[in-house]
Amino acid sequence: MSVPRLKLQFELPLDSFDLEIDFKFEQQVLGIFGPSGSGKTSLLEAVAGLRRAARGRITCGGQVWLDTHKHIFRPPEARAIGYVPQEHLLFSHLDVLQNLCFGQRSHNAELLQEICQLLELEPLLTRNVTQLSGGEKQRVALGRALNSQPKLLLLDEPLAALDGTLRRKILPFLIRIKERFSLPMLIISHNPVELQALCDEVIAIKAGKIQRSGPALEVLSAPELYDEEAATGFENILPVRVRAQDAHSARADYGTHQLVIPIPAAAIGQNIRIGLPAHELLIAIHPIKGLSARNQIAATIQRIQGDTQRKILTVEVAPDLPQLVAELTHEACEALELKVGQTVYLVFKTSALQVYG
Amino acid sequence: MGNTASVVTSTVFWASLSTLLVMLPATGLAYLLARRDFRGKQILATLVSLPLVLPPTAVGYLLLRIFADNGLLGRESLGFDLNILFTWKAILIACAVMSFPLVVRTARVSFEAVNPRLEAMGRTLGHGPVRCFFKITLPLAARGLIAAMILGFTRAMGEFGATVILAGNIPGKTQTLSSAIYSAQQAGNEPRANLLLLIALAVGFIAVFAAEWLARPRHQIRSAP
Repeated sequence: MSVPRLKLQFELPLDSFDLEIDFKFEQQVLGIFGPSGSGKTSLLEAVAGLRRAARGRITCGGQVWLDTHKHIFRPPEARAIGYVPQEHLLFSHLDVLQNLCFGQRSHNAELLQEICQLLELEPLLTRNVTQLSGGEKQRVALGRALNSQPKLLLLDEPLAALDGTLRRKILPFLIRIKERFSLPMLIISHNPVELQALCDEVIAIKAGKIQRSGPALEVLSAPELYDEEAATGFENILPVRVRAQDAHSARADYGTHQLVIPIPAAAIGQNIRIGLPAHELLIAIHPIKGLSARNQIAATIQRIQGDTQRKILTVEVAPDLPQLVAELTHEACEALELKVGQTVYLVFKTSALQVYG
Repeated sequence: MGNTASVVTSTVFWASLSTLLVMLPATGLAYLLARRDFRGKQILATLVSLPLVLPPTAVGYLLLRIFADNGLLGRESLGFDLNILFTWKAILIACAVMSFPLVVRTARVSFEAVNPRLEAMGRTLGHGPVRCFFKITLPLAARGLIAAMILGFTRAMGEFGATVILAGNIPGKTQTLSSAIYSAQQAGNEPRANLLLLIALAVGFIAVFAAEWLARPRHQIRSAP
């Protein structure tokens, strides 16, 4: 692509620091990661045109949205964005259907029908938005944004307000949106699962500056960022295909390996994602026999990072699978004499796994 | 009796008309005060609220000075006579001025209760600021605005001090419900005063009850799961 999808070069004074962004983005989904109060939402709002104090240049797909030198400011209503803020901001004087159709360009009946199917909104259409649950509100806000036919989707912590069960339900919707609408997206998130599952690239922001950028796993396994991830810590995402199911567990193909996983909602033959927290991953230097944990796969160490307290290991199971991150104490790492390039065995229990549709 | 009925109907008519006159400018000003920051905002807000704290007779006297022959809007400075003093037009002006601050304050609070981020949301969905005002802010503030209108109406209904000075208390011409009660009581006409009092009570009760009813919470707010 000759024209970058999104080019951000701007400054925005905030209360305690200035947001300074200089970044070009060519791919589809960009993740924005950082502690609260680091300026993530302000970044999103500047892109949306809701922060008039932003100075600099913002272009999207060759269209100039902001150029302070040339006195160009394209107002939010002319930017064709779909913004899904953290607090949803549904219109309480309208029902769900009216909310979905609120956008200036929301007049495509086929699109609306597709969105309702995709986000499972049909049963909600006549409901009052104040009576919806958190997950339902989130889906309506997403649907409203998509139905306005945006050229760029801005999602602010799409899963933050939701508890564990709802999170697992919404993530597949987001993945479906990514696959169905080849829309560029900016997603703010704290959540390693979300960032890995959705983003082609992630930027980490701290006090208004970009600290790091790159593929999700690379950015998130950086020791200086590792601690700022969701309270549950880093979670690996394993793409698997369901193969068989019995009464208590299921079998799934993971590359050439087979895993024993909790029973998924998905049918046999479907591709799903499995979450595996980094601290649940045990490392062995030899294959172990007679172990209660039912998953054991070989991998090669790619990187060892960290300090004298904790080590973060990045390992590769196969070149065509995403790398995995394991968390170890410094002592364990020393005792096992782990080195880059070494083959190790990853051991994990079925019950440590999360199924994300 | 016929006289009583005409006093009541003309008072209701004048109060309604003055409320309608007040609503548009008061709503606009309330929105400005709620949403915009500009130089002199506090001064403007204070000036607008003044009739609320001044003795109504003082406001009436001030208006009298303005509309008197040698006043700012009098015959001598305009070159023609607006013919306002001691007519029904004077009642409208007195009622409008006295109810204006109450309407502005109530409307301002109802605009402030609308989250401005909802308007921003409307902008991202492709609507300009004006459409956002009519499609989002106005409907969300509507109940508060209707309550403001009812309050303004009741204030106009009960207006006495400023009205008496600007419009007088001319039976059959500029007598209102409140000045009629005053006259009846002064003349020792107790039955008439009592009747007028009952009517005033009924109108007041209906209006305030309507405002309360509009201000009731419409939906139970569900706690987040």
